[in-house]
Amino acid sequence: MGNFKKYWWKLLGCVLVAFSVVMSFTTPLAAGVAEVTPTTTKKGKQLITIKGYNAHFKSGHNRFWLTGNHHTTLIPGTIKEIINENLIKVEFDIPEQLPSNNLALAVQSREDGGAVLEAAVFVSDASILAGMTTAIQMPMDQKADHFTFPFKNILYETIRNLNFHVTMWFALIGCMLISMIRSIQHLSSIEGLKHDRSANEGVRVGLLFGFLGLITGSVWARFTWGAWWVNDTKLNGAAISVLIYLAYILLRNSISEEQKRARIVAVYNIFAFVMMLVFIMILPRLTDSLHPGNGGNPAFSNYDLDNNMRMIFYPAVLGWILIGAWMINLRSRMSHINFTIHNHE
Amino acid sequence: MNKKIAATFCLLLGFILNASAADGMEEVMFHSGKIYTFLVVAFIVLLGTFFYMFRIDKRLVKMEQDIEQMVKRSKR
Repeated sequence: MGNFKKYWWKLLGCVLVAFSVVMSFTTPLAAGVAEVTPTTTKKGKQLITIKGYNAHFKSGHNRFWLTGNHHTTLIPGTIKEIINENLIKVEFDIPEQLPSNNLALAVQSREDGGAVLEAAVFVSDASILAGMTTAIQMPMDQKADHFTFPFKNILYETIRNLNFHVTMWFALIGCMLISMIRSIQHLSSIEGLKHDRSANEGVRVGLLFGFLGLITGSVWARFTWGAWWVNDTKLNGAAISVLIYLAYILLRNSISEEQKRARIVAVYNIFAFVMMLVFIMILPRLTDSLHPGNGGNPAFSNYDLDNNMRMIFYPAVLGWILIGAWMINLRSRMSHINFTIHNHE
Repeated sequence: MNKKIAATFCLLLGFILNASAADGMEEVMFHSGKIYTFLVVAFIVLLGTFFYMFRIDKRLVKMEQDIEQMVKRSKR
């Protein structure tokens, strides 16, 4: 077991990825509001049909409100008819004065926690009194009593993709970082091509993760945004980054003399890494973007990534980076053995 | 004759064991829209990949040791 010191991080990578896979498949989604009809209504007593997801409307522990002004104006609802666990008809007595025409629908459940559908109902004949609040206040962000992933209206179950698609990109950055470090080591070492070979393998493994990230992102986009590709800063930036590293491979193939090739390519690798960070992380945050986490997109931002999700996501990121590092390690050793055999005789 | 009795006994035992063992497993696998069945399948794929990488690793360790021996021998 003296070798454990050498391979503990490889085992850790496997364990973390396996953990994230199991949790991604078995954790249920928190209860949410999928749909509200009618979407346009008038003041007075209105019967609203609410469609939930993973809800338990039959439990009798649910309370409903129409809310305005960031949940400070509350209109309570009376349950009129429970059709099934996820379909319920609630009556609201909508007053004439409202903080805005658009009211959100909020559900509070003892077991399932709180759920909100923003801008659920448009009240056409309301008289606006901006900033009004009601006397009763309720916290709208209660958590469910079991471990859940957050419910997001555009994403639904695909939020689990966070642990697979996003981890691919973090693995890409991890692999390219390792590759860049090897390039720097090559440039600062006196002779030998060992670090250059490792840098090369790092780029190759990183490209694998890059392509997987692009493909998984494309599939995810097709079924949430409706298109395989959109002209979006982050997507274009990610594609450009992959192209930059493909150019690294081309550059390697274009120079035949080993020492010169290693030096030129190492410098290119350092610039490539910096440019990748600019294209993937910096530029998308500066512009409006459809992609979650950037540019004011409400689908999800850092504030919506709740703590349950983080508990699975962060270990998954670390796990996949370690798996990437292991792949680079294997390939570098193969490359070194290959070199030793061919240059020995 | 004894072989026939033994064979019949094993067959019956098999049925009895099968009936009770299946219930627990089936309950889990068919529950929740068979997501757990899917999970086991995906898990098998994942573990298979990790074992493959682990085997390559072990083979590389052996190759590295062989190379060391080879280099040492030729330097003598």
